[in-house]
This record gives sequence, structure tokens and C-alpha cells, in this order.
Amino acid sequence: MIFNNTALPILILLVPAVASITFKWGNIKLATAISGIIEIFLSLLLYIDKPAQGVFFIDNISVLFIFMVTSIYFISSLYSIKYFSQHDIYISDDLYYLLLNLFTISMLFTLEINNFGLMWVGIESTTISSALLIITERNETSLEAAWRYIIIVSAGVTFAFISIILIYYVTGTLTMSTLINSSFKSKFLVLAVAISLMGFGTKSGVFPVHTWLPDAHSEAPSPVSAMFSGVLLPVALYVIYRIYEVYPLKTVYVWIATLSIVMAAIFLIYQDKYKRMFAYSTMENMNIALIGFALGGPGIVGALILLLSHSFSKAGAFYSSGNILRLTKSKK
Amino acid sequence: MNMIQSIIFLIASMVAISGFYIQGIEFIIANIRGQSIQSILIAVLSFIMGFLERSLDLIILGIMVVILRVILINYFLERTIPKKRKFSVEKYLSVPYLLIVDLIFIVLSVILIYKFVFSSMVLRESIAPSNILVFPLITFFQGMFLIASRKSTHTQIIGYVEEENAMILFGIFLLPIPLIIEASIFLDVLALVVISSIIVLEKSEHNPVEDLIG
Repeated sequence: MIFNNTALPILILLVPAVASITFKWGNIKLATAISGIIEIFLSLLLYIDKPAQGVFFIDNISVLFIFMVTSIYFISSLYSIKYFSQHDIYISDDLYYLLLNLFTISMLFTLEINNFGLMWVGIESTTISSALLIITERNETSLEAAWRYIIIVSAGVTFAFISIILIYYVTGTLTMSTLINSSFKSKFLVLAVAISLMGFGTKSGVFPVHTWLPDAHSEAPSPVSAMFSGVLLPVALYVIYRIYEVYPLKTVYVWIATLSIVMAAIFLIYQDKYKRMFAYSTMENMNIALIGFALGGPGIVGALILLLSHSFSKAGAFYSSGNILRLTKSKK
Repeated sequence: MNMIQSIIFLIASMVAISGFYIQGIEFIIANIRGQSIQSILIAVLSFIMGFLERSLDLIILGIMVVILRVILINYFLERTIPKKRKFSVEKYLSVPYLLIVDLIFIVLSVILIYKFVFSSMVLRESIAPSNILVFPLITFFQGMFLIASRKSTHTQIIGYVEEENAMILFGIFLLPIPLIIEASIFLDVLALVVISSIIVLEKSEHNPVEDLIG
């Protein structure tokens, strides 16, 4: 073991934070890109040198998610430099990169922490740090999209808090490692797991609470849309999966995910804007992964492969959409 | 029910009533202050429970509610209303109609949820009957309905804060969650209100936008 139990996960959270504070003295764009490279390296190191369970909970699944987040963070920080040299930006460059770093920290915190209550805090923090990123190009539509994102996701995630309270009421603990290895049986636990699907599902694109998703994806600048689609939604899915492990409700999860896929396919037919199409495609992919997680065994492997390939390919699609927008000046 | 339990029951019912008050008024300033009153009631409940159960956590929770919900959120939201628009109202609002729909929606949803889910919950001795859980449920659905029924950014923020208030109340009655988590949640909600207040300055009302349909 190279690092002690908590040093590496803390370092992963600290690197983007250090990059953020450089806005006072130096080039935050460069610092963010360098921070991205370091983060990818650290996430790979985390795979080799997993800390014991304590404040943090790191297993192979969370390492994969952390790798996805750090990789897309790095690529988005690079793409942002090019993107904003060709598009108008309403907020300052410094603020943009500061928010991008905070957004990344909040996602990494959610993936690392070993407590459902603090995971909830992490998910809520992603909303706070990413909401202003949607309105970087400041127009009426992006303001409305940002507002829908804030209010729908916050209301949904508040609903998810009922599940956290119920888990605590039944088990007396919120420590994830204790709960997923336990065998508590209670009808309130069933309720908690079902509520978490609808609550956290707001963030991960579960029907019918997905409505913010196409709006925010289509109105955010392309590097931010890439972060949303490639990593934010999978992070919310990770939380859903961890709560699902406490008390698996296979039938409910599979049916809701299937319904979400069907509805996303139907909505997709009526879209004429390419970024909205990508958003509905993201919703489909997340729910296919949800089915994989719910089925367990090889399904989990399939879900992880899907999420990994989706994070890179969909991020790439959103970067391309930024180039198309610049060339054609049209979102259709 | 003994006298203390009756007082707790009464204050909890006043929290729910304050939700109806917020729903029933169109003045934005009054809405914001209605939220403050609701938060004060929750803080009072937290103090009472804290002293009854000799729980420092509940007393600190009450202090946090006062500082963050009653003072700071109120301050940030009122700051976004220009002085000339102190009497700003939500236009085209049919308050009696909304109240009736609200009442039907709340009564149906709360009765069903309480009857089939929460009625079998066993609460701590100081709180006693589980039907007190009806009040956080009413407050939660009030918040949801407020978000869904109004177009003003301010009122929708109040709806969100009301939902969060319901969660505190729910937590106090069921089993208060660890203070460190509670504190993080409070700060998160405050940050979200601050972020929202930036959007309020740019866009104070929300109507369907053609580009975002579908």
C-alpha cells in the first residue's frame, strides 16, 4: 500500500480544488487541464491501491466510475479552451473553470464517500455547481433550461431524501459498506429503495422525472453537455445502484427502466434538434445500464461496459455537436 | 396524549397550516415571510424535542434552522426583490381555485400514503402517535404543489424550501439523522437558494418556451 487509507481519495478531491484556487494568481485553464491529467493518473492508481473501507468506500465499480469522471473532466477542460475561443461566454473564464472543477469534485465526492446521507449531499452539490454552467451562453432559452434543471432535480432529490431517512429509521446507520453487506428486512426498506429510484432517478433520466434532461443538455455549452451526459447521469445511477444493493427490488427496477427506454425512444422520434436527440439517447443508455445493474451478475459487467463506452462516445458526440453548431449556426 | 405531546401536535399542525397560507397568497414578500414563519415553527419543535430528549443535536438543529432558513434564506430572497416592487404579486392567479385543487390533491395523497405506509410506524415515546407524520407529509406535498402551480421563480424556490422543511420535520419525528449530514444538507440548500437567486434576477417568471417543447 503506497498511501494510507484515506490519502489517495482525499488527494483525488484536492487536485481540482487546487486547480480552482489558481484563478487568483495564474492560468486556471492550464491548471484545470493539468489537474485532469493528474486525476486520471490518480484514478488508475486507485485501482491498484484501493483503500480499506472507512470514511471512503472504493471498490472496482467505484474506481471505474471515478476513471470515467476524471477522463471526461480532462477532455472537457481541453475542449472548453477551443469551444469558448469560438463562442460567446457570459460568465468569466475563471468562473467557468472554477465551476467545472467544483462540479467534478462534487461528483468524485459522491463516488468515494461511504455514507448514503453524504452521497445525497454530493448529488445535490452537483446541481449547485453545474446549474450556472448551463447559462454560460446567456439567452432566454438557456435560463429557462437552467431553471427547470434546478427546480425539477432539486425537488426530485429532496424526494430521495425520504429514502435516506427511512433507511436510517430501519437500520440505524447510513454507512454504505455496512448496509450493502447486511440483510435487513422491512417494508419501509422496500419503500426506501423504491423512492430512491424515483428521487435519484430524476438526475439519471428515469421516466417520468426526466423532463429537465433534454432541455439542459440542449442548452448547455457542448463541453458541459458532455459532462452531463457522460458522467453526471452515471454518477446518479451509481447512487441508485448502491441503494438498490441494500434491498434489491428487481422487478420494479427492470419494469421502470424498460418503460423509460420505450418512452425515450418515442420522444426521440419527435425531436428535430440533434442535442435533444443525444439527450434522449443518453436516457435510453442509462436505463439499459439500470436494467443490467438490477439483473446482477453478468448484467452488472454489461452495464459497466455500456457506461464506460457511453461516457466517451456520447461526450464525443456532444463535442462534435459543438463543432456542427459553430459551422452551421443551427441546432437542427 | 399528554400535554407536551399535544403541544408538539399543535405546532406540527401549524407547520402544515403555514403551507396552506403560503399557497393562498399572491404577494411574493408574504410568501417569503410565510416560509420564515414555517421555519420558526420547525425550530421551536426542534428545541422542544431537544430539551425533552436532552439531545444537543436537536437543539443545534433548531439553531441551524433559525440561522440558515429563517434569517439567511429570507435575506437572500428578499434582496432579489427591488424596493419599488415590494408589493409585487403573481398575476393571473386564481387563488380560490388553486386552494381547492391543492386541498383535494393533498388530502387524497396524504390519506392514501399515511394509511398504507406510515400508519404502522412506531415513533419515540416523547412524540407518541404516528399520525403526527401526516403533517410533514402535508408540508411536503404543499411544497410540490406550490412548485407545480406557480410561475414565479421566487414562489417556486419557496416551494422547494418548503419541501426541505418537510424533510427536517420528518427527520425530527422519525429519527434525527447525524448532525454532520444535517449540517451539510442545510448548507447545500442555502447554496442552491443563492444560485437560484441569481437566476431570479435574470428571469422572474416561467412560461412554456417553444425551443424546449418535446
